[in-house]
Amino acid sequence: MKKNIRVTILSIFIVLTVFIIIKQSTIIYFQVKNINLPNKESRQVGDMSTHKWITVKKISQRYNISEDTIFKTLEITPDVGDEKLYIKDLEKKYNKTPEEMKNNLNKIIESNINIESDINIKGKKDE
Amino acid sequence: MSEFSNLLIEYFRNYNIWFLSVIIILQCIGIPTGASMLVLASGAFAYAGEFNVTVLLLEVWFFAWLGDNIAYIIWNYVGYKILGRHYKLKGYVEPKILTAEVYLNKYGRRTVFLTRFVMGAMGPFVNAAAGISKYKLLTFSLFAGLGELFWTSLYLGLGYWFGDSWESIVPIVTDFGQILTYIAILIIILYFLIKSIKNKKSKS
Repeated sequence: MKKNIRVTILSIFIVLTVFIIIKQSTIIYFQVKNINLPNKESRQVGDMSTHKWITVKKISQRYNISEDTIFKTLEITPDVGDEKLYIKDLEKKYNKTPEEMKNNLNKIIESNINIESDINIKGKKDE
Repeated sequence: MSEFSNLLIEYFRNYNIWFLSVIIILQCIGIPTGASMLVLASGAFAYAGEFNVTVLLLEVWFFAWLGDNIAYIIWNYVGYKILGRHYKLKGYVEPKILTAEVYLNKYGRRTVFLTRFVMGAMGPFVNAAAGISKYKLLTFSLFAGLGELFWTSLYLGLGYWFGDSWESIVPIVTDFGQILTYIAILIIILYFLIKSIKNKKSKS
């Protein structure tokens, strides 16, 4: 009798686990179906998953643009120390929407890409 | 993203690889810390130019490997000390350790290797079993290192590939990990069920 109970309990657990696995697999199937594969644009400025964790100071160093220009592009009049705040914190502080910040950040990155490609073209011409 | 995930990333941004290394080592020991998500994020930050991706890969790999070895050593020393103090527990656990020893001697290499990345959730248990059953440290270390290389490349690579959209892949990676854990649980339950049925038949 005791063995029978054990087998029954284990069987119930198996049914439950199989049910959970099927449910999770269906969820993953739809998630994979709906995901957008990364392209150059989404990798650079996509959902702001990385950029919201970067400070103006870092962006300034990376793209070699002054902090003032970045704040101007972000349409923010900064307080002292704002250059050390993450983009997500600036968003909150100055009541900006993520979309606004994303568009303005895009302008900075695109202008940098244009400058770099101009330099490359000029370099090739000089050669 | 949960508050906890945001907190993890905030600390990671402040303390970089040092925070990541602590999180990875704790995860290897068996404390769920969200290391996979953080490694994925670090790959994305590497794409954004915050880290050198090759150096980051080597660092994450090293700390994951170190964590596995620390877990092994802890279970090797502490496991036996605990058992030595509690005789009742020793009597109960010792036959199971012997079974683990036989199993690891037979399938140890592939078990250690696969539980680093395919069945990641089982990793800490295998570390514990290997440590307590005194499985060969060199073999464990070698196959753990090899498995961790796959784990690191997979998560770091995904983060690097998705770049600024890395958060969109997190639910899929998390759910996929959960499915693998449920499959492992199913295999264990099936094993016990078959064992029970066999015992029942042999007795009748």
